[in-house]
Amino acid sequence: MTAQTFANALIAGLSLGLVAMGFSMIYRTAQFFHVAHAATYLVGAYTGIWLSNNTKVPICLAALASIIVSGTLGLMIEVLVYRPLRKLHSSSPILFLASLALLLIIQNVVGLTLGSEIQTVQSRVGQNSVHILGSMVTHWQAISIGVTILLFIVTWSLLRFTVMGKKMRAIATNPDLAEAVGISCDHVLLFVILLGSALAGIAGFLAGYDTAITPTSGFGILLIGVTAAVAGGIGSISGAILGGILVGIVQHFAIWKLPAQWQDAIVFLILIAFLMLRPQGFFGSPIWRTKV
Amino acid sequence: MDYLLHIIVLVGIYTVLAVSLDLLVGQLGILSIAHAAFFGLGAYTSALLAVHLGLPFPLSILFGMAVAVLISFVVSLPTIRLHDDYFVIATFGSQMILCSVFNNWMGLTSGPLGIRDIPKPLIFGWTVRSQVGFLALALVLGVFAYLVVSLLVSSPFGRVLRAIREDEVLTKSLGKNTLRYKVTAFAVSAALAGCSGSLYAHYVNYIDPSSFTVVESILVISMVIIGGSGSRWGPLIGAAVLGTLPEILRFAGLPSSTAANLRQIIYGLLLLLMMMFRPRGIVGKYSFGR
Repeated sequence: MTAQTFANALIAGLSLGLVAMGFSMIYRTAQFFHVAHAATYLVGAYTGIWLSNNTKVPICLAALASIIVSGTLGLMIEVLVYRPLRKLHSSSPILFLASLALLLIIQNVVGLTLGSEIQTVQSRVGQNSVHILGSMVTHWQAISIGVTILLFIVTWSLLRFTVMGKKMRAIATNPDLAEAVGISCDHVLLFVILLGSALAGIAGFLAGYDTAITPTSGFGILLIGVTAAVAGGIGSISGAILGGILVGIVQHFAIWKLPAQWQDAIVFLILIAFLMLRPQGFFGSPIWRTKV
Repeated sequence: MDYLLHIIVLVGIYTVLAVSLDLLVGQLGILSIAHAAFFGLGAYTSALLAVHLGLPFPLSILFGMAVAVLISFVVSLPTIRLHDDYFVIATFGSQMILCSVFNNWMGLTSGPLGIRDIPKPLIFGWTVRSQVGFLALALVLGVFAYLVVSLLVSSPFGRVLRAIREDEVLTKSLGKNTLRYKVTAFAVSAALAGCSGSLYAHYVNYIDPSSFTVVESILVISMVIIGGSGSRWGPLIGAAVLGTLPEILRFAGLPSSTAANLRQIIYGLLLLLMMMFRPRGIVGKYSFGR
């Protein structure tokens, strides 16, 4: 029983970690909460579900489609909304609010076109289970864990060892200075949003095959993702994964003591506790300013 | 005629809500996404008191405001120090927690079933039944909210709020306890939101958690930004524009299933376009966040 709960918590946590990773990366570089990240996740999940239920596209292609759709959405958001707003010298709360408006719009467009009721994948792919260390894990979940860990390693190395990663860190530290030495903020931010959205698309695709989803789940995903990112230390890639696992564990073990409907409230209490007591999270650098 | 009055009463309720939020957005320059929750606290408190204890309206509205203020301290005291975005995220979390309480504390709020048969407001032995009566009540509360806020805004207290908006460190260096000012402003704002919620509960007779979700919070923010934050008539205009929008859509003859989605899309689009092309709002002087 404990092993099974732990396995479920880990699976949920890694999935959240993938969302938090993109979120955290975008926050570190662009210095604002990209709330509409939850929308790209949602769109990724719906693309996968729709393709699987209405066409005979093989799974790999469906995954690719999710990534492309989510990535394109991210690019459009950056070019059509964030970039013009940045040119107007908008502060981070304005970008936050714009992002929130985008989430509301996209969520409702999805609801309008695909229906507001719960959707699942009808063909049960990879639902056979394997036993790992005394817990039942479906093939699909096992694949999800593998893909998440792989993506984590790839993203981490990308940020650590490539020139683009270096540019991102430069912009995170001092955007004006970065511009002065010839780094184009616009290009780098475009890349970051593209990468983050693609990650959200995969996370949505993987989760969409495993669990049910509704258009209104955007806000919930958003806050859980933020909690994971803050707990891990916003801006830190490994922190995001650990934060995701922490949230997953708390969610799944809270069910033992409390009715399931309080799950979300517990997660938000963790968020507020972290914001108050350890705003830099496990790994975050104190770039964050608690006091004015 | 009754239908027109109904819309005006709703706009009045929204105006109180928007005016109260504008104290934070327009004067203090902070954003709160928990406003629908305070609206809900006022609504639930006065509804429960009126249903179970038969309390008259003036008392139930006072208790509604008191509970909103109390919870506003619980929300603001630990989080008001947080910088910009993090404060917004914290209010977002508070909104979700409070909404979850409305939804899940079955014993008190009956969860998603809501509270039905909320009595009509009883004021000193006179029961408000007609639409005209409610219109008068909404008008009184609207004027009350406007009076409270404009008194605050034109007082030295309001000047300090605007100083904090422009430069908090400088204000602090002048010996102002900025935390106290922020917490007080947040509490006043919550109290007015609770007051508006009380009237709402008594007016519609039936409340359930779906009226107090984060989407409603975004709606109130849209009213303030679209009308124009930090201006006298901005919140009223915002409330009038967005409050009548659902009725206009109804006349457009859309099925109710798509109308809800479409309404939210329009709120979002208006908010977005306003921020990109006219950040001051329709009549505002101050652009929030610039």
